[in-house]
Amino acid sequence: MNSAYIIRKIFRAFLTIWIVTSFVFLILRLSGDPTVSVLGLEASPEAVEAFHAKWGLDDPIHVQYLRFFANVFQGDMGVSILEGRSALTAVLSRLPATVSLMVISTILTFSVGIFFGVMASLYHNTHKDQIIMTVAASGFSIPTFVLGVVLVLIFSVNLGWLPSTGSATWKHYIMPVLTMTIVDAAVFARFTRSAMLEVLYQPYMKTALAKGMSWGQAVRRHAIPNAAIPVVTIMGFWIGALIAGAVIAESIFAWPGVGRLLVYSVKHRDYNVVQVIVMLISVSMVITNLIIDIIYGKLDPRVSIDRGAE
Amino acid sequence: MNNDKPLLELRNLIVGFNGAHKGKPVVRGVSLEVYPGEILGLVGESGSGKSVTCYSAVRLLGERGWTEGEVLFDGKDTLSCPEQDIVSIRGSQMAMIFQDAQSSLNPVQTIGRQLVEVLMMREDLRGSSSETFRKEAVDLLNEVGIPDPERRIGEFPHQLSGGQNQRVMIAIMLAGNPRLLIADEPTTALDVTIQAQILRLLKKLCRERQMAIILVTHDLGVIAESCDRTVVMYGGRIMESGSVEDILVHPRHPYTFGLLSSKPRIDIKVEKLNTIEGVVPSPENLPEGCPFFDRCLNVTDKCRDNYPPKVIEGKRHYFCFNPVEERSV
Repeated sequence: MNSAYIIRKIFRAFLTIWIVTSFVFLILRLSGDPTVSVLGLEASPEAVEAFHAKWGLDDPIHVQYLRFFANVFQGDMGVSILEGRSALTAVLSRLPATVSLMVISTILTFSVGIFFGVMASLYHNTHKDQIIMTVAASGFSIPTFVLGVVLVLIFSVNLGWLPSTGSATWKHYIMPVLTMTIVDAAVFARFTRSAMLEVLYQPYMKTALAKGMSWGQAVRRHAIPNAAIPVVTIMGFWIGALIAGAVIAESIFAWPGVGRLLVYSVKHRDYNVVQVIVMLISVSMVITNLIIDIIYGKLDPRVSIDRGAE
Repeated sequence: MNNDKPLLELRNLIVGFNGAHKGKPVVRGVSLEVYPGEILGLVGESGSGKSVTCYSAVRLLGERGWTEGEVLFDGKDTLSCPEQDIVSIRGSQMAMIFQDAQSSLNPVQTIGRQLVEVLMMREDLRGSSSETFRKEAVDLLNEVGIPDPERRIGEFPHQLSGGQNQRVMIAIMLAGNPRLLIADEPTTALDVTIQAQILRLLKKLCRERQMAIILVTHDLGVIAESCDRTVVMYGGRIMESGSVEDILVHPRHPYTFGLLSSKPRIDIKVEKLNTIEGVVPSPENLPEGCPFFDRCLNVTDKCRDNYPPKVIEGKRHYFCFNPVEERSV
């Protein structure tokens, strides 16, 4: 990895963040403002005017836009219109709840998805394979929001086993995590299976057996590491899905995290908070993809990262 | 060839694949022996069953393959023994190299790692230091003629040429000190000059290690250059077998004769190369009798329905009712 590559990568990261943030900046302002949410419908014209003046909403949009970026470069992400405190603080205070949800879901998605994908490939065309793939197909056919609501209906409303809202105990985690995991684990199971099937019939698997390895050894040392390459590649794309899943799961289960804050802030046009969250998401996507690039280069020596950037 | 006890013996081997060729076998009763320290050439056109014969000897046919008959390695039946027995024979007793060395090597592991992997399974090296393994690996790469093995050991298959990959492949298979090496068209994908180098290497290894080699090829030139004895296969059956000189200079089977007459020669100018008329029959269309009957110049009525008996002449044998008269091609 040379410095030109890193500089190019960082430049591209900033470009991505700038484009995403600008897009969100414009869309939010074109689709309404927070005045009604904060002051109510009955507010006097004077109050509205004062509110606009206070938040700089009277200025032409390009002035607002330049002011916003000038502030960002000084490290000032603005103030939450609804909460009255720094937008960054408002987001960061909710981050731990979301991160814990995401970490658990990620571990579960990868382990369950990859395990069953590998199993299905090893039992290719047998009943085990068919059962796993049927379950997986039903798994990723369910939209996440439907899955969440159905879980609430079964486990909270009918059986009364699990709490439907909040994040106080481990029991609160079960349904949000399942909602975020089931669909993605099914996708990973399918993808892992096809990646494995691709590898299992490669000539080097025959070589491994001819060397004197048992089938299990050959699978562990030659099939799984090679099948990991395409699986790691889609992990990069999947981070986006993880964030979308968090937004949905948090909204359904009233989880006090960033996802729910995002929905709430968009609804009430709390511009600064939305912008902070969007920046956070783009930064984490950019970083994740950079990490994936590096892992990918390590897994597959044919793709050196230096060349891969050309 | 001073040993009279065969190292590998196939007895009436029949091989087929489930769900293919309408259940008809691909190899239909092959018997042959390989002795320690000899190179046996297995020659035939594509689809003659020569590779399948070899894969069944090491039991690497895949899940759809089925076999009948016996494969005796050092007296032990490798077709019916438990899976862990054949696993312990593979690599340490019988090893195999393949046509396309590049894709037969794991593309994302260094050749050193793929080599050491075999060394680590060896009983006599158990518990050795990583230095020992590295040194052994370098020695093996030296033995197969890889230049600068110290550096090459950390490289990946895509950084090496086709010929070098085949050398690496041979080194990997030598790592377990096998007594029999099956080489399935090891030079087919290589340039002619590289081909000759690899064949020389195999001959050298056979001599130095007293290792038996089965060399599968469709190239009579390869047979002439490297083998002691040869077996000619067609349509899943053995046509003729004997010393290389017997087969290549005085063929008795019309098929071998046809193969030899279709070889281009540099000493005579010909307008058009001889060919054997017709095509290789697919396994589902093979007759009860001689598989070569519909392309044979010496064919008679009984050839189609009766499989010719084995005719033994000294150290050679063939299966034909109407053999070619003894004369040079």
